[in-house]
Amino acid sequence: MNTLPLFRVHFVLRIVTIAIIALLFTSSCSSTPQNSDFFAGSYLDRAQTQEENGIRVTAAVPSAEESKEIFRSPLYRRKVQPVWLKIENNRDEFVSFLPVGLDPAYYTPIEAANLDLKDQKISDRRSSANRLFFKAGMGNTVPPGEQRSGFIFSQLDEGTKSFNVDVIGASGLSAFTFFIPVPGLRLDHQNVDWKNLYPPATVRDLSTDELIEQIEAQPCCVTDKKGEGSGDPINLVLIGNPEDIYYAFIRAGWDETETIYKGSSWKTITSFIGGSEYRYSPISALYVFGRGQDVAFQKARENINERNHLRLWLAPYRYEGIPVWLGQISRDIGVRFTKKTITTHKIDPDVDETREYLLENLAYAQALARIAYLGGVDAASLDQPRGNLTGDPYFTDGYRLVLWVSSQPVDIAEIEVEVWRIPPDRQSTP
Amino acid sequence: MSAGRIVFISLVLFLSACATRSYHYESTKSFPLQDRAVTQTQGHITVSASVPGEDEAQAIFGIPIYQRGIQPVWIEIQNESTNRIRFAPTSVDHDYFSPLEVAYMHRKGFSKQARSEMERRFYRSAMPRQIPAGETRSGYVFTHASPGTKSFDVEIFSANEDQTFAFFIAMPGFTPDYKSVRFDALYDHSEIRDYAASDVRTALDGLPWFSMDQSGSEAGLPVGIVIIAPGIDLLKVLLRAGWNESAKAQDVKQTANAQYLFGRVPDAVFRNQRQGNRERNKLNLWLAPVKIDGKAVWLAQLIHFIGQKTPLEQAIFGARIDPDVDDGSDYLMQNIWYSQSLERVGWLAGEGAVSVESARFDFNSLEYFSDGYRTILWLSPEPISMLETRHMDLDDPPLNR
Repeated sequence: MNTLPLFRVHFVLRIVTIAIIALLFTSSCSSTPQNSDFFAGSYLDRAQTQEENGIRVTAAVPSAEESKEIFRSPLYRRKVQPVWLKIENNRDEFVSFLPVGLDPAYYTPIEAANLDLKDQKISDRRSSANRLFFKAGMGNTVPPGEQRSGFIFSQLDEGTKSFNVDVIGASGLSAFTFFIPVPGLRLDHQNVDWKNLYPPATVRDLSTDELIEQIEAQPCCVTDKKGEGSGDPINLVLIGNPEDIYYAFIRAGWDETETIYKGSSWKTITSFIGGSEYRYSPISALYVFGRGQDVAFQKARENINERNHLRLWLAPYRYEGIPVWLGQISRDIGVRFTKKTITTHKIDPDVDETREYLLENLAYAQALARIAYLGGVDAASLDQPRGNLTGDPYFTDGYRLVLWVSSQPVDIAEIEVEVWRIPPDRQSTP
Repeated sequence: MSAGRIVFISLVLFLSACATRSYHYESTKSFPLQDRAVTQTQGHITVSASVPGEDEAQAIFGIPIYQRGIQPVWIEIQNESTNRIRFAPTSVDHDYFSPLEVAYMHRKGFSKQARSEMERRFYRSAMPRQIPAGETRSGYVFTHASPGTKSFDVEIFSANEDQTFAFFIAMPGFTPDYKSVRFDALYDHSEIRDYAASDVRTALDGLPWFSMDQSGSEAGLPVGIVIIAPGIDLLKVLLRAGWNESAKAQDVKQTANAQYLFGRVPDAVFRNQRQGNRERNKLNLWLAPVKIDGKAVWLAQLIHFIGQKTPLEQAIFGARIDPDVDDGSDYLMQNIWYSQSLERVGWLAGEGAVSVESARFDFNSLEYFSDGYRTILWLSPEPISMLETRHMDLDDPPLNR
């Protein structure tokens, strides 16, 4: 395969590599790597354990620094996140752990060890990285009465890491879902004092009629900080406890949001310039109930300019004893320049399309128990769109989607539909 | 006026002059989309689907959307039930493009009027979600383009039931490699032996453990996977599990470096990718001269590329593979299991063991090691729950994977 010119490329690269290694060696010979101990470290203090049907699973997720310490490689920077697992098999049969259930695009240990262009052979005894990762890998088969532990190398999720551990044997499948907080991000919802947002005595429990009346009487749209202007439509109502909502969105593939601080601003700028992904980028405040959103989620697609944004505000009322939230969702389809804010995201003007996408997204994540529609937004047509606070046009049928969010998996077939209002049909002319 | 200013003004003039293109498209009626649509009926619901090729899409929408990685899928749903039904575009592509997003991506160079016309064209051509009782709706879903046969589900929800329609649509202008293989002429009929399902061990005895180079003199990589399924089932299962077909290798160099088994290059090659078009896995498949329970038997090897290299980097630096080839066999097993296509699974210990410490190199200098087990996958033509997968009574599962 090696032709002469390629050989030259290799040769030049090797010289450059030798030079760099020499430089590093002279500048940092004090930092001799210590022998790694996978089973010591504060990430294990954050480990969680679940047990079902004779299978006991313990899981922990090292942070960026901890991973670097264990593997002597900046794995997070390479978008790889190790997940440590211990599986104890108390059944009297062989069971298999299926890493594809944890992450369909997981990295194999040797792949994770070779994310740069190093050219090391596994048979080369000097290739310590290969050996280190290979030894750290998790065995997939656990014999009866035994246990296995090790790392799975998954795609990076900062904030809260959510994953499944599927263990299968002749007597059935045990599926475990973990949500493990990973230190390193400053998240918006950590700043909210949920208990004191509303004095408990002022939070009312509404009947169905009262809920419908209350929701349809809410202003159509978000405002600016002064409570002025009319921005994006408040097109969502969520009913669920904070942890249900949180787990449902994480499971459906949404990311949490960082607050604005020096670190997050820097990450936003570098990802904007480099076109890379900063999945937890701070989101500008829009106002309902006189305050900016309590929590925001986002779902990145191919780059920073293409993502869905969702903002939620806790309302001062409950339905059937469960908190009610108002929400706003938009789909960013690009960046445009404005006089007020210099740049802003261009939203898909068809905001109902985005709203219906969310319904399907949460339904497929088995996170919805019930759905309904209510009015309150005021319709705007494609030919006479309204503008949001940055002058971006949008149109809508004027309906709000009401979603009862469940933290327990609900089969799509079991989602209940409350027929409160029926949005008009959309026609097509292909 | 400085030179810079002149350049700037001319640039602005040039750009604004460009932004005057008008927007034209052709009516769908001039394309045989409906004629070649694949139609399926379940109960009172009939779904037809068709996928325009690159040139057709350009004509239908007036812009080259394939060049941005967007592939339109035309769908028509006839609802003859007494319930309103809902179609989920996310079932076709969970990350589909919204119609106005596609229009916005292509706005450059068009006049204001033309952009507005383009938006309306895309908005109105989208497949609606709601189909009232007794009515028919049709339109497009804008999906991520994939090479070869387009595989997708159309899922429909109503108050009473959920229905899934699985589609496999051949694309004009793409010929997958296996189309040029004459499978019935690969072996003499007298050469093929048919074994009972209980005789898997005997059936596989004597089949090669390694592929070879073109000359048949040097060993290639282990062939650690056996798949039991008729060709058409295998194709559908792989497409459903997210694999893409390959076009026939044209390049002489490619053929020269290929893995050979039974004296020939793979009968079919499938690939799957990581995000960002980085090649991840390549699956080489050869039809074997045995049958089990009347079903075709395929020998396979999964090559997992590592080093996150793009095809260009691979061409310059050469490919690197994960030397732990058993990981590849395990991945394929899970991949098929999770796509609900694995009826039975089993393992056979064998001759191919190569330890990590004494990892070997194949004729392409690709390094590998293996525990020497063969993973046997018996596919189900219909989706089967993960819990219904049975273990074949062969050897104990390999313990070091």
